[in-house]
Amino acid sequence: MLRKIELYLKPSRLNSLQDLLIKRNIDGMSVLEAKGFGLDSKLDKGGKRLIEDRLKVEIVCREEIVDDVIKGIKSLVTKNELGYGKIFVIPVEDAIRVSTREFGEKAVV
Amino acid sequence: MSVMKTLKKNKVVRSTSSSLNGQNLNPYEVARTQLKQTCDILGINDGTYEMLAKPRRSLVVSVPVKMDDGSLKVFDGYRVQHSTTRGPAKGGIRYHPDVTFDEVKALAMWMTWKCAVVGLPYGGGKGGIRCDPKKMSRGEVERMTRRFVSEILPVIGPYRDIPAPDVNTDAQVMAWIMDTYSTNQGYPVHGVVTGKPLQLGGSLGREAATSRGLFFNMLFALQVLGKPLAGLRIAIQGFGNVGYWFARIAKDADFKIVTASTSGGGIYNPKGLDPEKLQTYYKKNRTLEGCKEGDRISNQELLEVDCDVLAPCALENQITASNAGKVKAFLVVEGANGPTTPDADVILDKKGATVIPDILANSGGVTVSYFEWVQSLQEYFWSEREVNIKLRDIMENAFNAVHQTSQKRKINFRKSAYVVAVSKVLEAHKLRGLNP
Repeated sequence: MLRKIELYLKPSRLNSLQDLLIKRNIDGMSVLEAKGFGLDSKLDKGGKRLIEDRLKVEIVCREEIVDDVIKGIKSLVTKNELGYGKIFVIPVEDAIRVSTREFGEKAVV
Repeated sequence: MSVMKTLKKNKVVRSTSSSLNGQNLNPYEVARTQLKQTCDILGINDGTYEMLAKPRRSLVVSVPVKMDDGSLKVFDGYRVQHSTTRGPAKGGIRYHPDVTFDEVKALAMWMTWKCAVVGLPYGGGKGGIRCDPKKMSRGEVERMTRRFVSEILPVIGPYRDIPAPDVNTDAQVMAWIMDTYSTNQGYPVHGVVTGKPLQLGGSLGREAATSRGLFFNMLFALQVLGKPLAGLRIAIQGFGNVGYWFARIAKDADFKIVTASTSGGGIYNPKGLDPEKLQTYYKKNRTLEGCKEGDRISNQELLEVDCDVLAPCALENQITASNAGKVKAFLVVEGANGPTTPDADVILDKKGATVIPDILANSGGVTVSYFEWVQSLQEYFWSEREVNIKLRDIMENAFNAVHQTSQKRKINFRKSAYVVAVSKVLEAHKLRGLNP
């Protein structure tokens, strides 16, 4: 079974994230520039949350390694260090590598 | 009035092995008194209380077994279905020399409340054979199991009553139960029992389920208590299946495990213990005594060590009136069934310690049993992660319901768990009505 891990994180952590994925034999991720605010965002003078820069990262992997990847992502941030983003895990029905026509788990290895 | 006081007032016959501060209490009377107190909180009348208190169906059987030496022994066996109001009865089968009819009736009632508090579509049941499996060969245990199943065959089944492992019964015993039942039906019936080996329709995640549920309950409790998680120290009593997996899961989540123990005693290390190293030692020596990972400590001293969370995961009646005052943990999560005596509960309450009661705290086991039953009925199996996530959702809902009731009625978690459970069973009774 495949799962997509979506996470939002501060740009400063991107290199470390890539390193830990490589360590787990995950050879790909998509990185999108994102903006947003959350409970821990700073406030402007009017008391409104500031829209801050973040990166949205998408990783598709086998379900068996999801927990290990999450553990790795959590290790990038000290516990209770606020404002470092969130992780979402989403089921993926299928994956197809267009060039080779491989599908399912083989397409994401 | 405390359970103890009520029992003393009612001059309960103390006839079983359930020992409380040196006194023997009849567990069925304890269970009835707990229910009575809950009925008083809910304003339930005596007739309804009696209906909720008495088991729906009890079967007492003789189990003749040909022993290896050619002799014939007859064992007493029981299967009690306390309630089938919310669904089929569900509960383990235990093999132990101290099994009594009253004990089985009490355990069946507690299963009803446990399934109800979690919201599983089950009633409660329990079974047992009065025997000493440690003095029997594997062949004798197998013949006893098969004959017992043949005797209780008319009352069990995937839609009637689904047994599970309990004291001294394991996945192999469940496989024999499944086989005996299936042979009688003429086709394989995986859903008649849970706790089966994986090859016969067992569920992934079942082994660690009780501990995982315990861990989730601890996290939810810490959250509502507003306690920071960083650096929390957990003292665990017991290093069986529940204690070991709880230690492992908690350590993985960066909690510090400061104690672990087996029946002869345990070890203490305020700097933290590594469950894997303990497990390696335990597998080799079948005890933690003599393990060099920490200082030697008795099981009683363990309950009183400096820690934040205490997880009794061994036997019943460990935290008693004589040591409850010395418990330093602000949170007790009951991995075992009945580790806190009613008197000790009052003392912990007064101290301001929070107790997450057994019927909620260790309900992860029966919840994944439920998942196994669902998978067996569908003949379609889930991944381990799917099991764990579904378990977390169910635990969270159950914890929230108990917490909210506790806040609303200003009662502790144990009373609140009983109020939630009994209310659900009562509601189901009302909806179904009395026939005729």
